Amino acid sequence: MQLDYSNAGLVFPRANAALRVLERACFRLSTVSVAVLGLLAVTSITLRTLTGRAITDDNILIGDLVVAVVALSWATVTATQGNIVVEVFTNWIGPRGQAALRALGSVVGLAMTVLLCWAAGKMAWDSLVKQTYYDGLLHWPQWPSRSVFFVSFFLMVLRLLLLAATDTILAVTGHATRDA
Amino acid sequence: MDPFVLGGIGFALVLILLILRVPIAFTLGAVAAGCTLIFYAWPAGREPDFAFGFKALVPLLTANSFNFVHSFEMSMVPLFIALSHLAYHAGITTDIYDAARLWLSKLPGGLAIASIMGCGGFSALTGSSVACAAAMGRICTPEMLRAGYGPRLATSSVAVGGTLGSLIPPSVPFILYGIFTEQSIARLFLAGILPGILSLAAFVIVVLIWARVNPAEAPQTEETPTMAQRLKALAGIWPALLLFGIILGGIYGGFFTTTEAAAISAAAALVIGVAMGRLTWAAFVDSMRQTAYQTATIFLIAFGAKMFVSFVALTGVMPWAVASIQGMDLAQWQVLTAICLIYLLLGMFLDPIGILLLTLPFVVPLVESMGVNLIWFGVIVVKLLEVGLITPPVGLNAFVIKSVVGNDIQVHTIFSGIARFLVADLFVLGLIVAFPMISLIIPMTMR
Repeated sequence: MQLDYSNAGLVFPRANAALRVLERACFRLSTVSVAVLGLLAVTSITLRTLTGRAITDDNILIGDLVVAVVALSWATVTATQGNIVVEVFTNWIGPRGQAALRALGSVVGLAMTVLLCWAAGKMAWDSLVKQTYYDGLLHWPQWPSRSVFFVSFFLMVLRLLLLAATDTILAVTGHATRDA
Repeated sequence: MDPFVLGGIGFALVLILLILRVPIAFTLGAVAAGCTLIFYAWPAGREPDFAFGFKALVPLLTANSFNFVHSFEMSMVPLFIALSHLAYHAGITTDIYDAARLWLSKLPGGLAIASIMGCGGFSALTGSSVACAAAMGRICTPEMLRAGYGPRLATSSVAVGGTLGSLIPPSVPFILYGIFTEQSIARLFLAGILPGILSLAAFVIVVLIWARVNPAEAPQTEETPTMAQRLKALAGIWPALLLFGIILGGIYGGFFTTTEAAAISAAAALVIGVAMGRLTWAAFVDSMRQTAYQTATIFLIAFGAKMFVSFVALTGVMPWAVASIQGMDLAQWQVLTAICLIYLLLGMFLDPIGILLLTLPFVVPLVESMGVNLIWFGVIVVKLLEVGLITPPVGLNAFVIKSVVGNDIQVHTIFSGIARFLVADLFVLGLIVAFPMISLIIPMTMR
């Protein structure tokens, strides 16, 4: 699987490279979470079938892993333009116009993710300060999955800021100016 | 601000931003978050208070994001996606095509029929039509072109065969439909089987007629496999049959929930791949990476849609729209026809998951108020989404096949071939709409 970062690093290559290191780490964790999720689900089902008892609080643990699988890849998906768009109405526009539209997409994305990041941060902070737990036998803490959720949104906000700046410069100047 | 006006502004903004190439997930999420903030901060006839609005918005955001994804049920989405990637890397899907090719090569258009059958088999292991077209396109289209098949038939047969991916279970669109409409995903899976087989049969008939009318486009292959070769190839599809049996037999027999079937079948694909020496470490890692990437893309749109659904519920636009349509005294078939036309139109421009999550909040209350069975309606919607995958100008599957064949074949050539299958597809859609039992007979007998 090849990830296309061609647009992301056009204007701010160093900032892009730094962000990419973090995104790559998160994406790897997300990939590992898929495998652990499968392993946990199968082990629990097998134990329940054979012994009548599943892994304690498996529902909660699996829920946490789904959060990791889903959220930790978002920044990578955004950086590699993996989000689904309707292209048919704007294919005729030239490269500068396309850059302006991408910048608009990033700004609209920021409007969504900044709010979600704030809400996720508040939720993670509350669960950390108040030491809240899920209902269950393990008293599994809520802060790990909520922190992962917050970190994922935070990374996505950073990536969208970088993309918005990159595409705005490309739209105004029409070419990549080696930065900063 | 009047909630109704706010609802209207929200809809208009969504349309404008989608046309301006803003990602579907961001469009839905940002418009929903902004409008919900205004809804709480600026009630009709009062001064705006954004601090209060923000306070009210936060719980709604967390409920539609974190609480939505933190669930045992949701794990079936990445697990079914992982199954399709593992099965592909383990060569299980290629085996289905190989067996179909050896058994059907002597029929007129045999390779094209084998491709469609291969797509049907792959569909039983994947939940995505585009994934099905991409995987089978790499295998079947070059082989048909090498055998002298016309480019229209060689490309379009795989593009349309790929659409079976969403109808034959497991299916990501059915999972999302089930979650958003609170219908049983197991029943939806079972409801998709007969319409899926019917679509497959219709595509095969189109190839048979095409090959008879224009034999130059589907020459007989030189290959004359022996009975031993055929039987060996047939025996080679046992992993696919086993996996399909686990998924459907487990669900139908009441042995597994859908989530458990997803986990067990993905694990079985992994074990089979390793045991047969076909699944390397690199292929396993790549399967996990693709699963993570695809899952993230789908869930980001689902978040946006979930937020938008909550916003629409606040405005009261939907009850008004439903009451207005009910006031027109339309018959059920007239409403269903109108809905089908809207989906066909949207399918020409939008991605299927986007259409599904964008339209369900509006359409489901309407059909529910008319007493339409939501399992049957789910099958109709997914079939319509499949038709959208092959209709120009967007027709994703056509572009997937184009990416496989490169610049040798133009997109309009692929679409001109698809046009023949489209007639059959619309005929099958008509049957599914006219005879609900085609969809409902299997789920009705479920344990």
